[in-house]
Amino acid sequence: MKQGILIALILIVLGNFNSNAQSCDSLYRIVERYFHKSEEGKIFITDGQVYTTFLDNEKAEFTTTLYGNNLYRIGASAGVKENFAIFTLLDMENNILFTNKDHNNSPYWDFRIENTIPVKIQTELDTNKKNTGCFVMMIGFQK
Amino acid sequence: MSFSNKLFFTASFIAILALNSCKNDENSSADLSDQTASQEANPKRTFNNAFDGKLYSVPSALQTIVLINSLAIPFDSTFLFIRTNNNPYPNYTSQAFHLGFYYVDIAYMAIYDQKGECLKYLEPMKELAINLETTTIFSPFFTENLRSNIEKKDSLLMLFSSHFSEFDYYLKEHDKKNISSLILAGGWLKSMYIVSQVYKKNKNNLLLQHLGHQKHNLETVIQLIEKHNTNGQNDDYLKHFTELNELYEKVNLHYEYMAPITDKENRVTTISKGINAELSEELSNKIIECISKTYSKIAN
Repeated sequence: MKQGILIALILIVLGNFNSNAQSCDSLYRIVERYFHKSEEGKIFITDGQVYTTFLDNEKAEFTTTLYGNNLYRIGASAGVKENFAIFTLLDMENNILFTNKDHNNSPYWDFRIENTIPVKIQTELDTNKKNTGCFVMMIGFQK
Repeated sequence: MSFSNKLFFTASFIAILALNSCKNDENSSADLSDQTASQEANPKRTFNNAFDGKLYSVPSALQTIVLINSLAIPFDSTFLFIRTNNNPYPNYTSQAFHLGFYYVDIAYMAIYDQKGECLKYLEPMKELAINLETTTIFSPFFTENLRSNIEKKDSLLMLFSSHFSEFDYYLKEHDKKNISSLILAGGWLKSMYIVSQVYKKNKNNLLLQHLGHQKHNLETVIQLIEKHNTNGQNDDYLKHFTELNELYEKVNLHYEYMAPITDKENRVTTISKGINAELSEELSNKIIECISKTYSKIAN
C-alpha cells in the first residue's frame, strides 16, 4: 500500500511537471517568424541572439543598446497563444519606456530609435494566464 | 497487486490526464506545422542562458558595419583577419573569439560586395567549428545557400542573421553557452576594431559617438567572459578588457528622459532621447589604441 502511494505520488509529480512542459524549440520558430516579411512589408535582421529563459513566477532582465536612426522589432513568445509573454523596456534610470502589457501583451512591437540609448529589457509571464514556462525573445533591426 | 494499489494507480493516471488536458495549450494547437516534439521544461536545461537570473545581450556587430557602410566609407581589406601561422589555437576561448572575428569579417565583406572573398572564409570557420565541436551548424544547406545568395546583399544579410541565431540557439541548447558568449565577445571586439580604425582615418562624429556608446556593451562583454572564467582560463582576456573598461569609465554619458510616443495602430513606439557620449580626442585615441592592442593580442 505504502509502495503504491509512493509510486502514485511520483507519477503525479512527473505528470504535473510534464503538463507544464514547453517546447522552447517551437517558441523559437514562432518568434523567428515575426522578423520575416510582415504585412507592412518590413523585414528585420535579428541580432543573432536567441534570448531564452525558463521563468517560474519571476522576471529575467538584460541590458542592451539600441542604436540611433534604426527601427527595431522586439518579438517574444511563451506559448502558441500570442499573449503569455510580457516584455518591458526601461531606460537606465528605470523609467518605463514601453511595456506590451499595455497592449494586450502584443507578441511583437517596433521601436523607432532616434538616438542611441542603452535599455534594460525585463521579461516575464502574464501570471493571470501562465505562471511558469519557457520564454523566448529576439531583437531585430530593419535594414 | 492489491485492489487498493490498483485504485491508487488508476486515480493517479486519471489525475495526470486531467492535468494535461486542463493546463496550457501550446501542445494542442494545430497552428504550428513545424512544431518539434515536445520536450520537458527543465529549469536546469543548459540552453537557458540566464546566469543567476540575468540574461545577457551584446548588440549586433552587423549594425556597426552597416553604420560604416552608410557613411560611404570605402572598404579596407587591411581590417580583415588573416591567419599568418598554422599554430594551433591555444584554447577554446581563442577559437571562439576567432570565430567571432571571422563572422564579422564575412559580414563586412558581404556588406561591401566583396563576394569572392566571403566564400574563402568559410573553410577556416568550418575548421574552428570542428575544433569547437559545433560542425552541425555549417551544414551543406547553409554553405549552398550562401553561394546561391552571394550576389544579393540583402538576402546575404538575412541569411547571416538567421544563421547566427540558429548557431546561438544550437550552442545554448547543447550546453555550449560559454562558446556562444565568447563568439559574441569576439564579434563585438572585431567590430570595435574596425570602427575605431575607420575613425582614425575618417574623423566622423557619428563614429566617435558610436565608439563612446559602447560603455555598457563593454561591461556586458566583461561579465560574459567572467562568467566563463571559473578556472582562470580567461584571465589574460579579462586583463585586456578591464584595461579598456578603465578608459571607458572616463567617458561621460549624458541623458535626459523624454516620454516616448506610441502609435498603437501601427505597433510602433518612438524613443527620441538618447545618450550623448562625451570624450576628448585624447581619450578617444587611448581607447582606439587599447582596442587595437587587445584585438592584436588575441588575433595573433
